[in-house]
Amino acid sequence: MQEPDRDQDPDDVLVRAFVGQGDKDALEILLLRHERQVYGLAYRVLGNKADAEDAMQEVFLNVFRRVRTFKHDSTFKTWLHRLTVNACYDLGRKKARTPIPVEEVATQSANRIRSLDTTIVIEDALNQLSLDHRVAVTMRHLLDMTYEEISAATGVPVGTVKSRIARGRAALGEILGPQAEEQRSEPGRLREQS
Amino acid sequence: MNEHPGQEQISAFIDGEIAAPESDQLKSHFESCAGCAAMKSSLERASLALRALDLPEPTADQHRALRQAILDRPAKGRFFLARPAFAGGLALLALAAIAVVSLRPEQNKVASPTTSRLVAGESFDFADGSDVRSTVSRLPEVTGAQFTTDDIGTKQEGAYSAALGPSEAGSSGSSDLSHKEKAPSKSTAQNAAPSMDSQSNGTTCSRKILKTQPYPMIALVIRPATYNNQPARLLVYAWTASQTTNARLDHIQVWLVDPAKCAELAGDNLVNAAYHYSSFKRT
Repeated sequence: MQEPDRDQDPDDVLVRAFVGQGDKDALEILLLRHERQVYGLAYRVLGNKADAEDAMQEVFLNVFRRVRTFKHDSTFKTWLHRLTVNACYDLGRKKARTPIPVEEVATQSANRIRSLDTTIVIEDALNQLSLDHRVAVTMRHLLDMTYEEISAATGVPVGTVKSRIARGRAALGEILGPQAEEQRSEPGRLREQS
Repeated sequence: MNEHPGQEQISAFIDGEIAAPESDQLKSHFESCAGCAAMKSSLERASLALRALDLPEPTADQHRALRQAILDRPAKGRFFLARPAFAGGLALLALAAIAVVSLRPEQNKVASPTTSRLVAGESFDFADGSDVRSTVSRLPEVTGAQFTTDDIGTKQEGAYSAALGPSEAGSSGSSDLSHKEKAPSKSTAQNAAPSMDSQSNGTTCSRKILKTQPYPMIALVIRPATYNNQPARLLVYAWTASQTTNARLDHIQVWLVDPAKCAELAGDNLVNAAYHYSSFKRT
């Protein structure tokens, strides 16, 4: 049974408890603490539930397997983001070679029917970006990460992050066009719909 | 500022990544340069749109699956993870495990099925991939069909041939699919079922698990069975929705099909040949 106050322990303390004593409760707290960000990032980058779930499981399996090699030279969260990005790239590459699962075709058809929902339009636009651009803009806008943090998580220089965010944003602006304009004039609308 | 800022600089300005005094200079520039102000507005619109998206959260089922994969298995998992051969074996199993058993028809003439039941989306607490055999052995309890207890063979992904038994002569009257509307769509059936190329004599079929199969398939079972005392062929497709935890079965489809109509078990043909179709998801 885990002690209630352990939820407040910093990531590093929990990592050391798991590595040092094989403390599974510590690992569980880490998992609970970070699964949403890992899943959310993967979902937005990969664009569907099944792949996001795969990525999330891959990330935490890697945590389990490789946490002993974690050097503490970055935060655990940054390391986790890096694992997530790597998992997304791996799955993204596989996906590029694999036809879309039938269940997703059905979902996408349903999505078309709901195409008036602006959120879906934005999701579609995001999915049209390259993987590099999607990762960068998702980290920036949905995880509120700084350029430095994105650089650390993706392993590319800050200048590259800057460029990817700018290009991703510009591409989105072009794809969205009038929708983005509508969204600007009705800022409350999307939240209500989502 | 004499020069117009580039797209990257404007984008970084929006993100607050440009420190003073450069940020102040940019601010002044936007007030005097309509072109740069327009570009800034365009990039800001895209940012605003993106911020409308939420960060999806894993569902309770996904959390449970993750917990199971990471936390509940370490005791066994250390064994699992520490032995590449074992893990590799599971991976191979995830690609395809195939059993093909000859069917000896009980009678020469196969009557048209008079009863059919197509059921989709049932729940079934089934075993994991490493123990798919026990899951399949429990299917009679769930479907009510009589299965024989033939072994489930395994085979790696790829083309293979197998004898399916002599060609079944007899009526090929239409199945009474009273709930046909519940049958999977054409595209679903085609994707769920591996391709099958019937040989000229109708007795040997070449099967190939589609590399385009959306999910790693764990088992395809073809075995003799009866349904309402009629010969039937049982096909079981089981697969996982996860590419990383191949040992966990998520979906099982069970098809009981009229052997007389088995020449092409794919797509609409599979649907039309079905006496019974059940689709199970992990409970």
